[in-house]
Amino acid sequence: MKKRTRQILIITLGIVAIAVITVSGLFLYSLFTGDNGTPGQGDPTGARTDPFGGIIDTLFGGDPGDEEFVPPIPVLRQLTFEPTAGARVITPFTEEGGLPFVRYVARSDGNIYEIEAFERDQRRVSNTTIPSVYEALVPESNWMLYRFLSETDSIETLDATIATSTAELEDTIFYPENILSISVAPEEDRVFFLVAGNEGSSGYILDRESGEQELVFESELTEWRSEWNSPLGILLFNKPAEGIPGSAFLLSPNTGDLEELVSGNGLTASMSLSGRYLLYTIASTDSFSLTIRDLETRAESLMPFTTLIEKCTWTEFDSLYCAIPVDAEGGSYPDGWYRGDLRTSDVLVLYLPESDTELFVYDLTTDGNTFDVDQIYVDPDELYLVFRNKVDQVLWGLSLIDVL
Amino acid sequence: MDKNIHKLLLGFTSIILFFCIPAFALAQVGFEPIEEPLYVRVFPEFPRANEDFSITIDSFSVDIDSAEIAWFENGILKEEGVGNVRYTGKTGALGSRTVVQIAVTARGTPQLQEEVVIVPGNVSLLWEAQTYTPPFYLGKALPSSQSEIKVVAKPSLVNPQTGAVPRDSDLIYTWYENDRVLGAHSGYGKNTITALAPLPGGRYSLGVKVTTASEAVSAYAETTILDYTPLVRFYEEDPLIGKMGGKALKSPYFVQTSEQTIVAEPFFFSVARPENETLSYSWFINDEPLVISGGRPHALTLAVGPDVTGEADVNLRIQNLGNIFQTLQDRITVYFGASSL
Repeated sequence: MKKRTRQILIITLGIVAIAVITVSGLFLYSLFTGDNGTPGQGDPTGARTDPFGGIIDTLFGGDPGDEEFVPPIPVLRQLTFEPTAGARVITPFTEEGGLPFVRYVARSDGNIYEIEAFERDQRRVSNTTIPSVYEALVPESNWMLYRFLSETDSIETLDATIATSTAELEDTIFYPENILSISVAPEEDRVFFLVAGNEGSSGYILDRESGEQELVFESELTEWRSEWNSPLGILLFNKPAEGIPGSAFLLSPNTGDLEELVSGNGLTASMSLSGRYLLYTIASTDSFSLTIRDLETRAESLMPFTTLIEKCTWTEFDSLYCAIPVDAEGGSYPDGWYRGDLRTSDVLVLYLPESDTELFVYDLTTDGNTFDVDQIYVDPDELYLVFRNKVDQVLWGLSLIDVL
Repeated sequence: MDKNIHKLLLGFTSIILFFCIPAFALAQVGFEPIEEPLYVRVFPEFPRANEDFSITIDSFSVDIDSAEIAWFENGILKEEGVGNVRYTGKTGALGSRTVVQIAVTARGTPQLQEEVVIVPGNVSLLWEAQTYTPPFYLGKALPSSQSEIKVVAKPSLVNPQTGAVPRDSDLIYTWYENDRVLGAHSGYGKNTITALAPLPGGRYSLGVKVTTASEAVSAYAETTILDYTPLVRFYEEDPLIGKMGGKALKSPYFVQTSEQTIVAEPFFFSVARPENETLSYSWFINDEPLVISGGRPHALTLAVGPDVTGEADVNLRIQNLGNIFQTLQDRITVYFGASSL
């Protein structure tokens, strides 16, 4: 080989090597910073992005014309890298309708993000920093309830509106400290919260519009959980432990009347959005059951599967999406699971109470995965389902139109 | 004289009417006067709403096993047969009244009759222990030995005569501890009682009977409270994220970062907060005592240099200085610089 030819070959190889190193560097930079390089999308700081979207787009220039290089969005996809405090699948309220998007709150900084359910786009809609958010209630409208610990470890609850013009929160209001339980009315105009007092607890309904609050419930006990799914009222039940009796009551928000619905050991309960059905679990030392009761006919039956209340969500049509364990560690449910002692591996099913039909939705155990679902959300049109894996609190999304 | 005769006649007439009116009343529903008693037992003694109940009868005056027995519920014949001594039914909703009439016809004896009126009432005994659970914990605080317990009776009663829900202050609560009436804690509106959880291995039985002043409706409930051993659970804590309460750490625990804080949560100790001074935390690493400075004695920060690998046996003993029964010890083996064994 001639000397000049060798030189050209070396230069060519050098250019190729530099190009490979540059592309590899960009890839690794994208991987570790999460910068998807797409203007107007994702986190401006590059701290967070769609784990399945941004990287590919950056690698191949993000050119819409390069569609052949963009793999399809998986049916089941990881939506976040980091722990989340709460989420919701929202359908845009426009004349044309629209496809759902996922709104979630990051635990580490309280920033709010939105991800299109069937696209790769992610946007940050609030960059107001609220560190260590333990729980976020995410209504469909543009506001949020943050729950976090103060420096003295008291529970703080912050009500904040998402500004449409800036990426910041506005109209922030702190609720009383140490709220024991809190839930949002189905119309999202009112909030029920329970605070501890010297002799027990008091439950208030706050009208977010007027700011007025009304005492609707008083109890000698403090360990209550609440759920306000249905226009019929607020479901209250004692915090559960296996083998220990508890009761569930329906509290009328208008009259304050309290009606006992069901009682039993280790009781947890949830009411359907219409108020027609009550789903409840009974946990004794030697058995665990899941029952559905038709509150209109008073008929009740054991569900064809067993799972924890927290692993289920109601739809607008009173059907239920549930994550049901196919593998579960032995021990005390539900409290051992709440403490993080026990883990399960779940699959997703849909249950139709009207016909007592169970439909298989998705096997979450494929590819060697293990998901222990502790929060589950579905949009009103049942196009997209989001769940949180309890162990790492990472959010995952499932395209229902691809699996049902 | 005439007046005396009139008085005498009036007296006789009154006596005759006094005995005849009940006979007429009974005759209206087709029953003969009761001449011999039936022994009736209702189970449960205080049925709840929409609950199955049973009634059994016995008699020492007739051969009940060969007698024809008819059961009427709210005036409708439900069952009849020879020796049919047991009837089962279901109570109605709160405020309802189920009347069960029993007619026993034995050879050679007048018909025996009895009537049972069942008015369902519900009462739930709810309790909570004054013990520690972490913020946002969804489960119940369990009682550990000698921890304080608050027990509340939550009745659901409707007066069948008026249809009204009696006010709590109008209800009479009678509390029973191991079948002994707690007179000082019983009375009008006394729906709450505080007690101490039993000693290790013990059990505490508590019952309550709730009734309206007119005794138109009553309900009963009982519960047994055991003592539970306190627990300690270790969780990862991140300075930004906070505590990861969804996953309790188990041995072997692999630390992947150069610094990791572990928080020990003392479930079910009789304290309001883990930093409470009555809780004594003794940490040991590989059996060497470790002093935790600062205001969080339940948090341990593990720091290792780069490329350091190894393992450490982290041992924690927690003692409630105010309650000698609340002591425990737990350990976790921590591996540095490795993702698996």
